[in-house]
Amino acid sequence: MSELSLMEQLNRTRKNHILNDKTVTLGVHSNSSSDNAPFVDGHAWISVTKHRKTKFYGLWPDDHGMTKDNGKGSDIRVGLEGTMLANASRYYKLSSIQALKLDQGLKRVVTWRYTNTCASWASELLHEITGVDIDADDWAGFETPRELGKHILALEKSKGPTSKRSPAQPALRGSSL
Amino acid sequence: MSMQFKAFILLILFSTLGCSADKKMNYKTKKVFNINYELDDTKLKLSYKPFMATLYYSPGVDIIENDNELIIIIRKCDYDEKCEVGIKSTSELDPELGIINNITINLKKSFIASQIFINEPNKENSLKVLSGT
Repeated sequence: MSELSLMEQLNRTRKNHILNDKTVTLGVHSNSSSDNAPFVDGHAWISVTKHRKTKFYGLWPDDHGMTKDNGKGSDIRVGLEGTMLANASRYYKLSSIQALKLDQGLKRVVTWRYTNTCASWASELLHEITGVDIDADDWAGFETPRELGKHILALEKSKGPTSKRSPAQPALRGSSL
Repeated sequence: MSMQFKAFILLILFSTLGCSADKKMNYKTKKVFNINYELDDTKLKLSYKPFMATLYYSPGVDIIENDNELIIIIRKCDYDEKCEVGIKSTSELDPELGIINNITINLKKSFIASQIFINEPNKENSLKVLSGT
């Protein structure tokens, strides 16, 4: 009986610890990262970890065979990517103000176009929130998952590896952040 | 660079790459993940996650059924095309894996998992090996 009570106490403590964990981690991911990867293949997306739960967000066209057309609604779609399939990832710990800006950014109506791809969106959102510029510009200025992936891997090598549990801390920009 | 110029470049790129609905494409076996199955004498239920791409998707599979083997070809299609396939897949959103494809194949005869292959009939491509069972 006392053992059960101890287990219950431990579980409550753990739950409280998770609820009190205000850390928000933004991940940027690509499943394409080599020069040999095709120009038009692959996907880039972001992940947001709050209270130790991770959600995935990606920009997908309405007329994609795998998505539901939501008309004029945002092309930011939640949960399609799942875990384990990125081969290039980098993580950033967000301040509370950056986390708020991210929430606002994810509520925006964004439209996928050839000139505003999944890689454009992931790269630009990361830059807007953290000031970190991970270039996705490929041939003729198109932003592609392979180029974003290459630059993520280059940063992981030059600045040190990151993970969900050990994210990089982006330098705070001026008072606007 | 102007949007119009980018769109023009992209049009040329796609026409030179030959991305068209009449050319059948398939996913290489190493580009198909999270393969799981349920098999009985009359039915094979298969789930898989193809390599994710904004410009492609898997509409389903084609099958080749021989005396001793069943070969499943995972088809790939341009993102906005409705490609013809032998067996259409349905999509399911898994909380862990994200979006996955499901198909059901009605079998004319019974097979075991080592007689069922993805793309090519060799041991490495058998359903038994690929699903890790």
